[in-house]
Amino acid sequence: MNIKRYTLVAILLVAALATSCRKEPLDLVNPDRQPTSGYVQQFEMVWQGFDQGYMFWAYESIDWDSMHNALLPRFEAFDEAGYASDDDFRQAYEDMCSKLHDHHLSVQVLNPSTGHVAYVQPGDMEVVTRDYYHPNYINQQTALLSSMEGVTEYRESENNICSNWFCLFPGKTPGKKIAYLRFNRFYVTTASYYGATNLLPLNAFYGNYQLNGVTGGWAASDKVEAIIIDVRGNGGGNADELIPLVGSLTNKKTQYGYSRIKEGLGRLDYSPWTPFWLPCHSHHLDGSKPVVVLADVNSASCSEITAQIVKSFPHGTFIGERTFGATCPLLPGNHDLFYSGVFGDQWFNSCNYYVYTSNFDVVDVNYKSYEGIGITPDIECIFDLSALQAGHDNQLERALEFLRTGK
Amino acid sequence: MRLKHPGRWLLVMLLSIGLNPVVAQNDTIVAFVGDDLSAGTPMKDVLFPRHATAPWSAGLFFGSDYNNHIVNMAYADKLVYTGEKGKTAGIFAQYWLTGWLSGRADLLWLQKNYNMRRENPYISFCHTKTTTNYLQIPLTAHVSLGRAAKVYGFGGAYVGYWMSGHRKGQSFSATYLLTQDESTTYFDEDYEFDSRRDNRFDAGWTYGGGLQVTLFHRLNIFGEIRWYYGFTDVQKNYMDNRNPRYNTTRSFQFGAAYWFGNK
Repeated sequence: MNIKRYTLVAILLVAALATSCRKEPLDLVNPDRQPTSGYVQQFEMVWQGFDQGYMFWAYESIDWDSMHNALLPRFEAFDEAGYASDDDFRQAYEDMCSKLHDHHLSVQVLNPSTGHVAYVQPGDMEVVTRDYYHPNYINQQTALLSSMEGVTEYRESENNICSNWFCLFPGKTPGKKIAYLRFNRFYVTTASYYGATNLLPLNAFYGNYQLNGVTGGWAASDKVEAIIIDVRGNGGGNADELIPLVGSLTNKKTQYGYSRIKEGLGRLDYSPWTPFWLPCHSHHLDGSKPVVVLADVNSASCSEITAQIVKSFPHGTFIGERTFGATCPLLPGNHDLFYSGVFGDQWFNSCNYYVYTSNFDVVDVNYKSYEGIGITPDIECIFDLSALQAGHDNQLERALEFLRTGK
Repeated sequence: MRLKHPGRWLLVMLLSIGLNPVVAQNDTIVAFVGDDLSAGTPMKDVLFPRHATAPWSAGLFFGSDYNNHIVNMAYADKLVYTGEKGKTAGIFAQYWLTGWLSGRADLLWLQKNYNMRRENPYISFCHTKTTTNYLQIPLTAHVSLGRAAKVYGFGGAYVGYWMSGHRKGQSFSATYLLTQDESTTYFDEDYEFDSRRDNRFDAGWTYGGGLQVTLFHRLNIFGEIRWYYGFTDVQKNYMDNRNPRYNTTRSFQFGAAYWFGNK
């Protein structure tokens, strides 16, 4: 009987021990809008916001835990001194974030002792290191448009929301035209609130200024044999404007690739991939006209998606430079929707930090990510400042040459 | 010999005689219907036979299970994990040290499935059913009561390997961001392991109990309930602020065992 009793006791003991073999869960704090006091608390919240909600850990080689341990003494020293100079403060956050891939990323932190905001944007820091980098010369380039050879029907609207330009160039076939449209932001919706005159060039191209696809206009005209969409220097905007502005230029939906979101607080907790399509707008072209997208190193976000989508058109070509590299969309102000992406308070009312970052991971059809890299053109044409100064937009001229000669 | 707890033995005896009725007076068998025990066999030898009828038995089983994926989501309270049903099947060998004490080794397939859903109304269509397939080897010690019908309990440990997985459901796609078209949100795919994150080695405790009945000369059937209490995190130690994820699985399984050796 003793053996049986001991056996029973042993089984009960094992069962009791079983519950002690699991680690206790951590009491993780929501990094979104968390009030902090002092440098260390602020640093901890920003660090945790990245730790739990940053979208691109799958691609990063940074040891984020070691980063924490390396930076913590600096913030402890700030707290101990009760002061950090704006330069030291900014440098600490730059050291933390500068190697991260997300080119939408910006970190704004309020220096607790000086009240000044430190601003770190790793994408801007990376892009200036590229050997083909140049500033945005959109004003100088568009100033040449009306005087370029054979230009007709020139329209322009320069405003604070969505400046846009339209003109017709002579085409390959005598009597035929190439319709050209340039806009500097995907903020057509907002611009339309301030009156139709803001969007006369868009109206000339699409036949409407209400984001209703191609309902007429020169794009649909039989006199137009090809199209140039110029998103050089375009920093992006509302992603839902992609459908009427770009999805109307072909006759079927176009697959960019795949997208996924975060599905947990672990760095590598991802949802499965789902197809990322750009639908064809109900008012669209028949897909027979060649479309060239012009984009450059300053083309970001929706502009890069436009470049990749047009590349995928049967008659689409991307001419220009490798783009900025902020290819993944985001939903600002919705941190707790996905527990990822933008966190903090832009106005520093509820907390003294604000981090703007993506909450989608987007790859192409071969699961290649372009975040932090940019979209590579089919035909590379690097911006030539000396040509611009001599009155030539070498990239636009290359696009016209391609459409007129086929090469 | 007088038993110290006659009420407890009576209960066990009643369970035991369900299919093998015995007639007992005090602690001595006076009759046993359908088997070869003779009158006068002490009651303790009926409940705890000193010798197994054969030292080895082997068998197979199948059944269903229910897995709870234990993860603390902290403030992410609108991302909810719930348990899910699965299946199990396996084979085993059992060595009988005595008529009441034995050791058993199983080789089994066990699904540890779970669901995730999002409770934010804007994205409440998002959900994932994750199916995972494990190969497990539990080693357990069994204590049996009874003879032709045995009530038994067991405890031990297991090791396992996460062989494969599958995910099916809906997710917030970038296309949905543009179109609000739910048809663009579906996925149905095999789980792709991430060697940085996924810990495919599994280990834990297992315990349970069951009832085994002798049907024929060498053939027994049994039904049992078993718990698998994993103590290995399904994630590797790839980040410091990582809330662990564990599986706790309860299976109901039925099977048959064959006795080897001379009866």
